[in-house]
Amino acid sequence: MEPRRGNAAAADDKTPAGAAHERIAAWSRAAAREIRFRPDRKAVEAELSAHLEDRAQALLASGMGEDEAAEVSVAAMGDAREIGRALSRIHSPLLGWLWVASKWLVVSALCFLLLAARADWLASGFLEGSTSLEWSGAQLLKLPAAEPVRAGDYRISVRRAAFRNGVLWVTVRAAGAPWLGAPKALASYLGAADSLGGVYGENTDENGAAVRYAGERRALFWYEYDVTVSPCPADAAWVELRYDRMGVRFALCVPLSEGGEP
Amino acid sequence: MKLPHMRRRTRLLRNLLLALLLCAAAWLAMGCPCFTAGAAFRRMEKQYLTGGPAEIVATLDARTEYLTVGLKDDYVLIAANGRVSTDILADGLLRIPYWAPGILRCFPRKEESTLLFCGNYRYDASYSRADPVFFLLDRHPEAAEAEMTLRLAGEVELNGVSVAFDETYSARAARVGEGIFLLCPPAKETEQMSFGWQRERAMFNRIFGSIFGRNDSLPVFEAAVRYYDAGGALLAEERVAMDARMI
Repeated sequence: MEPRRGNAAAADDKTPAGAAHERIAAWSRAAAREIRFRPDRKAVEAELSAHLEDRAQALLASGMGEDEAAEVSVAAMGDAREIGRALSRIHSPLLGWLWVASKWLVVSALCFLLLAARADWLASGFLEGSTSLEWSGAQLLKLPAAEPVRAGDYRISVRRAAFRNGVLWVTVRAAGAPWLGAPKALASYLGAADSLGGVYGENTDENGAAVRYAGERRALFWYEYDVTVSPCPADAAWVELRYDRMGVRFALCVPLSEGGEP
Repeated sequence: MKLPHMRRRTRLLRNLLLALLLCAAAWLAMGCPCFTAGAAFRRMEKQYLTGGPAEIVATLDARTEYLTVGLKDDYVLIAANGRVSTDILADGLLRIPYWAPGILRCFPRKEESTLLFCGNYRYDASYSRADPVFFLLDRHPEAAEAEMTLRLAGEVELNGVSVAFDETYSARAARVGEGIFLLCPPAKETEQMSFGWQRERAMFNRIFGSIFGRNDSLPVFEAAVRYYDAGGALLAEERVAMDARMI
């Protein structure tokens, strides 16, 4: 409960002072003492005092003496202990202490968040990545508006692709919940096939046809992997990225020309 | 701007909700760590796209890491999760332990008994260094104990010198879960009965490093296992396959 300042403060000449003020303060103190939740007592006392002094000031304005105005105001409120007990029922100690605890909980959680964010966890954190692909200057291929495919708890899609000098560059995005982390097997086990029957293995083949990892980026809800498929014949209509491991299987088509879907 | 007045009960609920959101944000800032080894294993299954949850049959506390073995119909999954303690405040005043998803090794499951090598770990407090950890996958649910003999022959380079070897080792294995044995670490008094970890460890590590690294110069590998029931009676004797190629 917030303490309320009465209009008495603005009118010094008419403020109940001395014995009158002390009478009001004593009554408020006696009422507040009945409240079992101690932290609330001060605020309730201030609220009651402000209310009584407002009332006394009104009586002063009507021509009543200071002491009499204070006495009438206090008498109108009734028995201080009875009022205090009624207020005590509103200011439950259980709810009060829970509220105090909840404030400390918020402060602690905020400190914990700041410390956690300060730690090295974020240093390696989100919205970072690397790639060896130079997308600038490369002419991006026009990709069909395809629905992402489902692989486990991830949604996999091709974000962008470019074809230059017999190399197909593809960015594959795996979107999922932030707590899932990176789909570690994805880039390592991607293979590919083209429309001319060419087959591209995993990263292992250094000289032959292969799908190679070229970099990655991550944000809160997705991971992106850059891969290259090479050597890719220029007259191929499409290249299909394929994943088939431990019962999880999907394919993503990248058309190299208009209408080049399989 | 004056905020609307709320009752204490409402403010209490608001604060609890706010604290929950802040904790969730802190967990996110920490990189969403797992708080149990089982949860880390389950997350790794998802990350490695294993196509559904495996049955966790054994766990092995290797001090800083925790090995968890999961079985599927066609695959064996062995996860090594790091147990990490991160100091939020300096000098360990506020330290949060959690499990960092590490490596998940996936092996194809076979009909016969299979020896799985999953790296070197310190899984016994009396050991000062990491030792090879082998799991033996079996199809004899009634077997309580097993004894394996292993013959290795070939040539390996140790410290730049080519060393020829032809050794036969034996080791006992104890059941750690349904369908899986752990080859027991050699006790000091029975060192001569063991794989000879102390004397031959460097060679052993190199040999299995070669196998594990798909090196072309694989050594001769012959292994047999005897299964015993709880009373010590011989149940079966069979050859052991070792497919170090992970999938």
